[in-house]
Amino acid sequence: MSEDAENRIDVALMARIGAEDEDAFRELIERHQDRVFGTVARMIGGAGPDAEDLAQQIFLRVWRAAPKWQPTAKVTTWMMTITRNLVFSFSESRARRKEESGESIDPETGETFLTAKGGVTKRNPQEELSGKELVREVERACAQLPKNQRMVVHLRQQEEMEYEEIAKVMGMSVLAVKSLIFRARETLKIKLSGYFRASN
Amino acid sequence: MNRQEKSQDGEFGPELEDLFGRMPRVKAPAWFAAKTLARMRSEREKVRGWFGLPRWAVLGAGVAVLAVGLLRWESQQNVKVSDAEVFAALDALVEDEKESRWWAGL
Repeated sequence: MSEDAENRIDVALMARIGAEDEDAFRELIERHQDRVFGTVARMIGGAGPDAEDLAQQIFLRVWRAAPKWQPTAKVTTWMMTITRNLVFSFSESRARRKEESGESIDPETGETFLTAKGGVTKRNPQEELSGKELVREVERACAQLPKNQRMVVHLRQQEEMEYEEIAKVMGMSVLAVKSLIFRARETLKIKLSGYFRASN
Repeated sequence: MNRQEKSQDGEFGPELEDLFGRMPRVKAPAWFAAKTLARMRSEREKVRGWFGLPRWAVLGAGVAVLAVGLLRWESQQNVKVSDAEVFAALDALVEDEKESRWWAGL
């Protein structure tokens, strides 16, 4: 099904949700839960209770906003914008909490969850890695990216969104999005270059 | 644009694309939709409140009733009757009694 057709279904569902139709809300959740939950999990570094709570909050915001919602953008773009706002404010408040409790924080990413000493580079890249370990290393490298870069890489790579849509989600120009992707790619290449051979 | 096409245009480079391709998609847990719906219903109940009215309306009405009651009670507490009014009332009672007795031929 084309993206336009998918969006038409979402718009129709939003209209029904605006009239407090729970079945439509359930359908919308089921259509987008993996996308929303996956994005949250990637951005906060795990699919635990925090990710579930945040993903639920995103859908609750959709429910609350539905009566006044106007289809000015694609539903998925709008939902990803809500996701970005919530995830970014969650990351900032978590960084503040960690700072107050005296834990070390990566000044660039503001995160500590996957920046345990050693991170990606401590591991000897030449050693044989199982598929799972390799995936973990890639996830660690992505988690160490600044949150803007991490988000655009995820939206582009995992969610396969167009540059224009990503720009709307991020509230920046297409050029800025491309620049973020370029910088993320260069960082990831440096961090993961040792694993390229292992992956082949 | 699918991943294969993106690999061809070299956006992330073939090596990174290959690594990304190994990352599994994170999926929502099976209970996610049900839990989200339950949370939405609970939130809606909180907003709706009692008797099918919004909770803020019921609470507001309750506070207004209490405020009016308090004001009325306080206004009754402040009633002052002067001595002259009390004596005038007593005189009126005595006169009334006298008149009644006169009519009764007592």
